[in-house]
Amino acid sequence: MNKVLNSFKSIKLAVVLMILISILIGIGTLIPQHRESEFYTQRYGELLGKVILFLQFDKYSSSVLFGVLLSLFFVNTLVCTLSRVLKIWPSFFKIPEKKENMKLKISRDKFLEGLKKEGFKIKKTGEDFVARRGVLSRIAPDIIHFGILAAIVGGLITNLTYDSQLFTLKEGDVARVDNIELRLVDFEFQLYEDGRPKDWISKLEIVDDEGKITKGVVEVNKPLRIGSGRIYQWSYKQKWEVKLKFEGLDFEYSGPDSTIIEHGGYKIYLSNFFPNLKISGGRAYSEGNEPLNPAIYVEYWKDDNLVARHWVFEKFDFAPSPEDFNIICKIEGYYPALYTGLLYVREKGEFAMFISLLLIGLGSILLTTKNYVVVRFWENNGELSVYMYSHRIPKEEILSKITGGEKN
Amino acid sequence: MNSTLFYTGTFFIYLLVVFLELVAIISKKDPIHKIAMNLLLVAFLFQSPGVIIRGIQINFIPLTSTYEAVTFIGWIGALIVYLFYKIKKIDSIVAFFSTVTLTALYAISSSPIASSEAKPPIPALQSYWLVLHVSFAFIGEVFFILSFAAAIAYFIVKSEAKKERMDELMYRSILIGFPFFTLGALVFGAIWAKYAWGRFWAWDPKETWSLITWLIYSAFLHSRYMMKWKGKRSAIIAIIAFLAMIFTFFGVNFLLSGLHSYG
Repeated sequence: MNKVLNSFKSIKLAVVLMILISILIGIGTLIPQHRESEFYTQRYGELLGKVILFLQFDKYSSSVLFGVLLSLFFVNTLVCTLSRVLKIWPSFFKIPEKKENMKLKISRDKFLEGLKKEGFKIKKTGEDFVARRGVLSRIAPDIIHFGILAAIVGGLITNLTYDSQLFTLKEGDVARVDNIELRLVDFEFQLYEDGRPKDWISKLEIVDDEGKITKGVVEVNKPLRIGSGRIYQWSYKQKWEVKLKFEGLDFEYSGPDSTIIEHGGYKIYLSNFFPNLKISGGRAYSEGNEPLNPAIYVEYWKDDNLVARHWVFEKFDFAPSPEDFNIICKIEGYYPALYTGLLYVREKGEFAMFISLLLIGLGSILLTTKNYVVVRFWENNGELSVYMYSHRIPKEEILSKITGGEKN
Repeated sequence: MNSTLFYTGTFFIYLLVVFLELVAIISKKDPIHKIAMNLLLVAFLFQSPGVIIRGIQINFIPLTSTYEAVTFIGWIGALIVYLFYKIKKIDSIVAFFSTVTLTALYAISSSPIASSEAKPPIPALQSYWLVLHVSFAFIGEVFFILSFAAAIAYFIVKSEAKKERMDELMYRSILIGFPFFTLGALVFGAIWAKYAWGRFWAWDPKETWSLITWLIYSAFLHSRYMMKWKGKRSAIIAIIAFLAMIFTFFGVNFLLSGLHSYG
């Protein structure tokens, strides 16, 4: 057991794992993710495609190989950090051994003054003095390591518990999440003067399972907490609501464009509504949203056979094909309808992730504080006997700062 | 007033700085190096009104497009390299490679891939988490540029004392840049992603390459502290890490698609 623990305490293992993880995820970013298996064999050839699929580079972040490397990295970081903490942290509370490693010809008071100026905390223990500074800088790597461990745990919990639902709602529509009813009261699409999007704001009425009604607003970058999750402003869509009259079928349709209607034994396919129809290179499109040339394309199908097609214009009549087809569609009305795309996300790793980021952030800031130094000194025949331990800073450098350049 | 006037003027000052540093290396004259470094401070001061005007034009901190990103790195880089010169007394070789890299990045602002048009940010970019994310990451990256310059200089200088100095400079700049990069690229970036897209981490190529860059700089620090690696081996890691950083900055945007494809 000790052998296993010792092998995980190796810093060489940590560096090797960091390199292997970097290589694996680096390759992963170069390969398109989550495609059908045929995609890889067609694009990379039979052999390489199969290698990619076998090693799961098509989904590298959830591959077995990545899982194994990350698990090893987790254990390695945990063992290294715990052994470091057990070795180093108790020393902050201990008085260093009385073993002189330098002699100074400087008065005790002047040395004390220099230590204070350099930010040392000084304690008197009997006839000796113990001065210390930079404890936070010394524990900063441990804090970052604990943060990394929490991030791995948080990431795992997130992956196991992540649940999301996407809703596309127009004003008045209702959706349900976690026994909570959401009704879209208003959707605002703000634009800059040059027509670029400035903001999307969804105003909601929220009815909880006890019937209590509250109001909430969701904006990009400003999610709304609902139940055990959050709602994000995810996307928007502009669709057209159309009113069509089918002469010969004695039927009127009111509803969204781009849909299929069944009536009178026909399957009627409606295209997108084009407020300003233009045709270029055989492709139909709308030039802007101003209703200058409103049109819609309609197909009539019966028993899986196309019976007729018809370009329907609001401002003039255009015959269907075949011309003697007995149903004539007419545009009676239209209006744009804005749909908001709301994403509901529920996951249980959020707390661990926030803690991990807090620890990594805090540890990073503490890394920049003054290096750890501990000094024990005592008077000895008119001189100062000093024991000094300094971490990542030469003793001469710190001594010169404390004594103001006065040499021993 | 047009902010690009200040940006263009600054670019010419950078070119002059690079030229003077080259002359300083060839002629081995320290006063020329001193003039070049003072000009770098002038470049920072000259660009500052441009940054403010652009901020007023877009009604946001100007950090939301490729143009603003590369010019911000140049701006903050000029100040940091100048301060490093004052505090750490960097020599003309390190100054030359640092300013060449900064100028090359700055030059991208005049290329077709970076439109200089001042446009307010799209909704997803209107977040102060984004400002913290980008600015901290860029400050860290400027220190990484300094470490790269010191690593290159390590292989150029001949004397052991100079090599020792380059090694120390390389280490110090990574030591300062690493916390900034960690906070900016990873911590603030993850928080912004959570507020914008509902996930801290999505394995987007830019996120992944930021992590790779971070892991390589971590490997640099670990190998130095625990395995006592110094000198040549450390310099090689610093150069590899810098190349990963440049790929994260540009390569990902233009070669791989993902959430960061706008900037």
